[in-house]
Amino acid sequence: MAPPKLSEDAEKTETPESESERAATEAATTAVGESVEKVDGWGLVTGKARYTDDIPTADALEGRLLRSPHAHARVRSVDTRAAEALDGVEAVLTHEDVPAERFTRTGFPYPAPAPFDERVLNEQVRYVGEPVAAVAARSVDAAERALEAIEVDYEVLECVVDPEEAMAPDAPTLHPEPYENPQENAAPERNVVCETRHEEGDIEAGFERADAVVEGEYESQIVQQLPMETNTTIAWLDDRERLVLRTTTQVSHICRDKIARAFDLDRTDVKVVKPRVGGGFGVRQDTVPNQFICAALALATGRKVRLKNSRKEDLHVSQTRHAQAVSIKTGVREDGTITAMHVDITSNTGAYGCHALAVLSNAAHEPMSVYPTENRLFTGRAVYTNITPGGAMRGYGAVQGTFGVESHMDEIADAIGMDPVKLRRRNVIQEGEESFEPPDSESKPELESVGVSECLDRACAAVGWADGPDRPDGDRYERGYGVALAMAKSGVPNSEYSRCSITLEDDGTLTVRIGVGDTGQGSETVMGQIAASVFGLDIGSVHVKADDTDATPWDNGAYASSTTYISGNATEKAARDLAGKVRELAAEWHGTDPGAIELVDGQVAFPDGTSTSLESFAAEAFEGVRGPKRRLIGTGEHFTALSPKPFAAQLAEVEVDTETGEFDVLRLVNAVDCGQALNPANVRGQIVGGAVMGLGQTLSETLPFGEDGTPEIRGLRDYEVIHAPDLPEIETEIVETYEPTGPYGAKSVGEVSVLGPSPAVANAVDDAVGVRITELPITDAKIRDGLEGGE
Amino acid sequence: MSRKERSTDAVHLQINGEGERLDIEPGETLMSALRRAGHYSVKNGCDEGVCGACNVILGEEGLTRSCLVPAVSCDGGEVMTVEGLLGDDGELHPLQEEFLDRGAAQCGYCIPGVLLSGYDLLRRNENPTEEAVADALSGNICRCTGYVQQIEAIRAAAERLHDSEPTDRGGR
Repeated sequence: MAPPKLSEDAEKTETPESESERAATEAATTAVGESVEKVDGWGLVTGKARYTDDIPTADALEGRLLRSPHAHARVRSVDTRAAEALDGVEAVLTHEDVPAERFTRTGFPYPAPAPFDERVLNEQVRYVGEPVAAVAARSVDAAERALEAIEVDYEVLECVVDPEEAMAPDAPTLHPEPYENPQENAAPERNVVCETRHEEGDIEAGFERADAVVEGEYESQIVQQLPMETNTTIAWLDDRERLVLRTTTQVSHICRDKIARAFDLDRTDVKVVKPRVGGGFGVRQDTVPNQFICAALALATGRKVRLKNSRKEDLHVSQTRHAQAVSIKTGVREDGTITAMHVDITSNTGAYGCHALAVLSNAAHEPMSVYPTENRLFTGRAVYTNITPGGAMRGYGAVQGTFGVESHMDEIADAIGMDPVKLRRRNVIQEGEESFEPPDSESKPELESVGVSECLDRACAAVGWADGPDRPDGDRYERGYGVALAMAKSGVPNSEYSRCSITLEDDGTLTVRIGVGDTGQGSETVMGQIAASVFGLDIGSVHVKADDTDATPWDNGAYASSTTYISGNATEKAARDLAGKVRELAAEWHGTDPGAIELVDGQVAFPDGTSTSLESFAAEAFEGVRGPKRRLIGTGEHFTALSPKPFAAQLAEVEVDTETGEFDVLRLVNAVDCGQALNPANVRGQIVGGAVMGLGQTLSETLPFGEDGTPEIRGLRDYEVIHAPDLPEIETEIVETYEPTGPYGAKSVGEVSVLGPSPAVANAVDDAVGVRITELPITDAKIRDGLEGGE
Repeated sequence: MSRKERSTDAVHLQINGEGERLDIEPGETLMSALRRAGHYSVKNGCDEGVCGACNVILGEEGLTRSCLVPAVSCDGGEVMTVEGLLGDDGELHPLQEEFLDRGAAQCGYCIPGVLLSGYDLLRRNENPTEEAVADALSGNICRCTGYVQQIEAIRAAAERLHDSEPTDRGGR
């Protein structure tokens, strides 16, 4: 195992001494690599953890939103006079009361790869449930009566919910006015947010060299992140007249930036507090209407305002996973060599284009990366329709694309009569090969740690695939096995930025300030582990402060599986910067060379064999007994063109009733390469949690919309997630590789395991009964139809 | 007109062993009344009785979704929230320790409800099978963990409680 080094863009001036220092601290490392308790764990298990709404708000105004009943309409006028006249009503806002500038809600740093196609409140509403007016009142009752008293004159427009229909010449146009920041080949007049094409090699020549050409189409449904805490914001003006948002976000600094821009405020006049957050999974990457509107109400009234979505509202209006139709055409030789692959995707982005291009692009590039071939082509388009906007959700397009590519791989294997695992082994990416990166990405595509083949071996070994898995010969109940491979990322190349500051307190403990967006995944814990490990300290000696934009330097926040890799590198750099300062000061005191001082087990060790604890060292430094008072602070920042890839191989075992189509997933094996697992228990939690979320998309979850754009779901009771009794046997294999550019060898693990369950189950069903399900979710009825069609 | 001005009623409850008077609004649920009184460990995950985040132990009724119960119907009753799991000196219940040790809490929002489902199960079944634990969690939605580490933690806590002398807090 190579010693860790910082990524290529680390300070080139770093002295060689740091290598030996690393080796010295490495041996004594206690925190990294261990399943230490989460730093916020005690609060989580005692009920003491405070989420956004867990503060007294008796003094707050209640916010409520009047939502459009129409999927597409122009708001001719809103009469708010009766509502405003009601006792207890403090403010009623419409599109006339909010800034005219348009923006994108998408949670990337400005300007973001998304059209500026929406306002805080829009004059033209484009989905059922879009806010039309907002009320702040002194009681819930007054707020609700105010909503009833608002008169809206709608010019109802024709709506369109199907992306193919939306692109037809006679379709209504959702965004008729030109907007800023249009994306690649945008044609908003025909509802195309972007249209993209990326070819490497010569796709036609590749098909000509093939012995067989296989084609397939794969469709995925709309599902939702469904974090258990609904979108909530409490906004107020503080005693310096600054706007404060206490809110459910996974990107506090980006949220502050977007709110400040939308209301033309100085960055320093906005503060975002991210308390404990009840899950994110991508939906908190965006600054959502709830957050902008709550800010607008607080600014309008000068009062504290609480705006919390009900669960039903969250289900109807929170951004979703995009529904996508994926068509794949692959050329393959008899020996299994892929000669060309063309993936074409149409993505339904709904009313606004917030993640249209990035999700579309990711949907093809990640799964196609798994099988490098000289000739490959991705074509795709994202389309506006009159449904809830698609957003970021764990997997970020790669769920849809992986369902396509990995189902397709089994169809290819079938077409040439080859074992699907053997086909994958023949084509799968190896260390040193390049991932398929978007053409505008400046990422360095050559991958240094690739453990996907070992993942595949481990997953297959779990069922003895090589010898043919054990297959009970039931006439009615058939067993089947399916695998899928997956790849994700560790941050958006050349976009992520994190800075960390670490203070050595005068008792030898560390305060780590970093703006990571922990929504439960344990990022604060991992940052604490990394900082502690550099000094050989116990995790209990570190406090991680991450919940407030005033107290932390900029960090993009939690998305794109960036935290451990990007923020972790910034934290490691800050800790090493601080360690360097400790060594310098210690060397000054002892008249020796800083390189000769070692930091091990929380001790400062001198070349003469003596040592002093970091605690005494820090106390002496601040007492100033040997010179000026010192309270040492280390800083580090990380920005990189690299995005190392985590991999997974997932294997499903199913049993299908050949008479009824009823089936059960009996087993799901998840072998994951995330580099080094810095906290194995939390890594396992991410793997299992992702896999079960993926299984929900595979088997039961769906958020349907009617032809008129109405969400056909009454509440949580209609949204079928996986419950504990539904679980198959779940096995997790952590296949550790060493990523040389990662903090302590780590890549990422937050998203990769959500990708494989759908194709693995589809492949297992096909293996069991020869029925290929190409449309998610996979249901008994679809299998029954397939069984009947086959007879 | 503030909530307080409109409050028309009050109930007296024993909450985690302490007598409390809660002002309640007409039609208010137990969940809402508890939260307004500062019992924030009772979570509002759906307000429709589906997710189990608002679970409490309500006297003889046992495990109850507090979002489905009118507060007014609880007058004179005993309520235990997850905060009642802590020992007199603030020590963690074995369930809580096992959840911490096994990474069974991610965002934590479902955890008070899940822990009370586990606690309720262990009162009835001191040595539950994996299937029995999964069934006991059938009314809880956890979106983060996939339940696996939670099931393991509850079984491990059962084993610990089983192996040690029963106490007032453990399995009772």
